[in-house]
Amino acid sequence: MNKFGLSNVVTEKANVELVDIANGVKVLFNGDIDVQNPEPIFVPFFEQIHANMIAQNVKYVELDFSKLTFLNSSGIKTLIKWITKVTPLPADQKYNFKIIANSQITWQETSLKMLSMLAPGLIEIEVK
Amino acid sequence: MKLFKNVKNGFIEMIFGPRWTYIATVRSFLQNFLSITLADNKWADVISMSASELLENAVKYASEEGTKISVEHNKDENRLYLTVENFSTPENCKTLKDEIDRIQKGDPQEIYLQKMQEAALRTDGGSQLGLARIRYESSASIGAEVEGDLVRVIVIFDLK
Repeated sequence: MNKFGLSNVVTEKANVELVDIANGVKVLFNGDIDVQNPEPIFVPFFEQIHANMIAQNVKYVELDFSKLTFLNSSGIKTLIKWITKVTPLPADQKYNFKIIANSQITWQETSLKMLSMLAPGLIEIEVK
Repeated sequence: MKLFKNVKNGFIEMIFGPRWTYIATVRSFLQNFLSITLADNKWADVISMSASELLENAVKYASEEGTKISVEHNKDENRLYLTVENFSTPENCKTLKDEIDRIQKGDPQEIYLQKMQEAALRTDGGSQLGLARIRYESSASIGAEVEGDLVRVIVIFDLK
């Protein structure tokens, strides 16, 4: 179990897991996120991570998409909702994201790059 | 859907009911079909993603059963035509045409960023990101035609 005590989110075709890393936490995305309405599935999970990041003063989260083969635009929206919660926070509550993309999966570099533009200075991208 | 002769270009046409579960199947089939037709996995990925986004819209906003998708690779022009047809209401057709107009007129990256900012505030379950995503990720040209309650979205990918 991770430091926030959160369970994985598992759908028919995807698995999203939160794990501890030395300087924060990492969210591992696996499979395909292509459900019609992913908000009730993923938004509560991301909101719990967000609340715990602030409450436990954790300053770094990695979003590892390297094993996510498909993400529809409704799924992208759930990430947008999370990221845009961080930008208006006061400086002492803000935390940083690192997005890990897989160069072998065509959509990742372009789609994930755009997420970083929503929160300039808070999101770094690594393409493997 | 009529059978025709003298097929020179890579071509596929499918009609299916507006069932969400078929979209992943169609996307996967198209990805394989396009990998063979275009011999380019990158374009196959981008176009199958685009088809998936259009089909999601077709299923979400259709007024009746039935969605048709066709793909044609015009080798002479080095272009690929992706067309999705479904039945819809006049209100949804107007919204779609306005949306395409906005996306086609603006800078693809700027419009996509604006749409992402708007999506953050939406509470209706929709994202309204699909068309802007297609335009941003492929630089394709997007158009729509309406005939009665039939709406046809045509995306043209310049493969040069």
